Amino acid sequence: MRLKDNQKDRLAQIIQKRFKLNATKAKVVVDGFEGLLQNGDTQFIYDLNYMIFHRRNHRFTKKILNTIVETYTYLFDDTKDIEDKNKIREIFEKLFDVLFIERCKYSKQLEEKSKITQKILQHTTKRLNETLETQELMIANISHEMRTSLNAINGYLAIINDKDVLQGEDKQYLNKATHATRTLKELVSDILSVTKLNSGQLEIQKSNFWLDKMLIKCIDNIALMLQKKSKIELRTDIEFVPYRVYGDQNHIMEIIINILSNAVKYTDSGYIDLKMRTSKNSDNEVKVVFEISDTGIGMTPEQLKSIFSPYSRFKTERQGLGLGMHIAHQLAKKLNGSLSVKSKYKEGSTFTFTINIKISDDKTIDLQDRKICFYNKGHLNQTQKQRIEFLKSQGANVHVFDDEKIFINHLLTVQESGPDYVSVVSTVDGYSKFDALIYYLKTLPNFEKTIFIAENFRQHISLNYFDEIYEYFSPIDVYAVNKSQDVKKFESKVNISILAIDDTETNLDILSLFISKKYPNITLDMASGGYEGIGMFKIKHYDMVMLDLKMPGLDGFEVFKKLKELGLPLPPVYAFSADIYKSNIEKVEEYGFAGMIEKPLQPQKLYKIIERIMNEADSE
Amino acid sequence: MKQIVNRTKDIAYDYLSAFGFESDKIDATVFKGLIELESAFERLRGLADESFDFDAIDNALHTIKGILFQLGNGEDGNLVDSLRGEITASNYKEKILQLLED
Repeated sequence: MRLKDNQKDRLAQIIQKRFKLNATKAKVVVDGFEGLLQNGDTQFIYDLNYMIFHRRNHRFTKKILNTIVETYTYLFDDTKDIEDKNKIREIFEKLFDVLFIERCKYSKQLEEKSKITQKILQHTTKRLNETLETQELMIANISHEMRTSLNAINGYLAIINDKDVLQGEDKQYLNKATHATRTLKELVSDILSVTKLNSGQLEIQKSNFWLDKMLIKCIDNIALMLQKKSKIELRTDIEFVPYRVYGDQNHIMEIIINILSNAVKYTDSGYIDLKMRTSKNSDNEVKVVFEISDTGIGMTPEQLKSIFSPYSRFKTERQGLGLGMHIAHQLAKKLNGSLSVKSKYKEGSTFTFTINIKISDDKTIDLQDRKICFYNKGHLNQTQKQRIEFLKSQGANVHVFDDEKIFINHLLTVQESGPDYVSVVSTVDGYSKFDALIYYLKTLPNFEKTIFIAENFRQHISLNYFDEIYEYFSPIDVYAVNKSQDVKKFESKVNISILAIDDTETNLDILSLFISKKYPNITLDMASGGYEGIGMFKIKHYDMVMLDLKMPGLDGFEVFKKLKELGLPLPPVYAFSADIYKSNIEKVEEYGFAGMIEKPLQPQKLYKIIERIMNEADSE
Repeated sequence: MKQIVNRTKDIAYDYLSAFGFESDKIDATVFKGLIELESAFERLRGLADESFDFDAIDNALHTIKGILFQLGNGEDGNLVDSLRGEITASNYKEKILQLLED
């Protein structure tokens, strides 16, 4: 079939219009098409294929499709002969096939491209995650190692400070170094916390605890900061919760301490209010709301928006990096709690931390028949009333006094054994008066087991004879402690000397820690081996000797034998050993040791022995 | 060994903190204790390379056990103590290396 001239012109126009070609190029295309139509010349199909392949552009392919449809419609309508019509249909079917195959190929390519892109994305994401994990792990490891080294630096600085050998500006340098190390240590701890939180490594450690005692620990933690800011007063309004709870005490404390220390940091004068309210969700869960308000610098709306973002510290001259609130917020979320804040610029802020905590199965404390005397100059507040009701409900025998004379008269006329606890809330003069009274009462046999507690004591005077002093309130479990369980500090002023012989320095360090904390007046000499110990024993009188049994060179038994042979007065010699076997104990008895002190050190047993020796020295 | 040292480090801070010691003193004591613990482990490693000396190995294990106990890591202390009863001339290298690999 041949195309007519008018048909060729029309086709050239269509091609020109669609592909923006000049007349000559359009004519070449039309000639190629005519070749296909006339004698089946496949060059046109080949060229079409090539163009589509070369362009690889779906818009171009679509343009060809539209051209073919327009051309086909025109030719088919313009042709009258049936055979020619059939020929046109056959040729155009071939052209549509080319396009269809090309579209299929194109789709396939797209699919493959998409698959490859997905693979690349997956790989990149994996690598990115691996890099992040590695970085987090690296930061965690470095922070951990840095903290260890900083602990050591801090420790050695403390040792130098304890020796008290530096003077003048050298001492100042030491203080500055100590301060800088502490700041760095806090920063490293913060970074470690953030890393752990982000990487999900933070461990939740639950235990039973009293909420009031936990808050006392929080307040203790910021006590030094508060002391430095004399124009701030911390006020507490803590609801008494008559049961223990079961939760992650340390992390709850971390959140509260963070908020409290921020309140102190950003408040120069006025108040910090610490409130705690509870409401039971069910028999075994309680909702606890901690609210901390301050009269500090407050925040602008812009600052408020980013308060929980990392590094959101607003006043650069204040200490810290601004990670604290971010950590507190993340921690609250981790504990399934919430932390929110309201603030007014230059007026102050209020932080509210809410958490649901399980009520402990162990709800009671043993207070059966405990005798407790309360003296409160003034009216009891709601919390004090709740505490007293709770103590009574646990079997305690509680007497409450609000008249000083009647209370003192009651104490002075006690006939049998005195109360187990005497708790006093008073004024400056009142505390001084009671301190003197306690000094006298302690000389009486019926007050031998009494624990004297000063509560709500925020005075600039020192109390010498109260056993326990609390700035705000005493924890409820203080009434469950028995005096024989070592609440009271040993008051003997007797100085005794102890010789400890052990080849392991750590054992001596730990021993020194325990002894010096409770008995700062005791002289503890330490020898790292048998011969050294014997040498020290020869030149100085000791009231007690502690002897490690297993040492290189002379063992403990041999040292003891040599000490006896010296012919000097022999004080009580105690075996100091981790080998608590029957054979060892028998051998210790056989050699004539005064007893055995176990490793790990059991402080109560050690203190009992020391106090016995101090009593003996005192009576001599 | 590294794991025991790390475990002890974590336990020791909590253990000594529970007695209310100042953190600076705890830091210094734990730091020195861990150095001594590591050097006791190294001494033990040296003994595994030498010919069998029961007393020396027992002394080294005793020292390690004592430090672990004193730093509050009773669990690993007991493990080391039980090892003392298992050491023989034929198994000492294997037992020591096993402990050091932990």
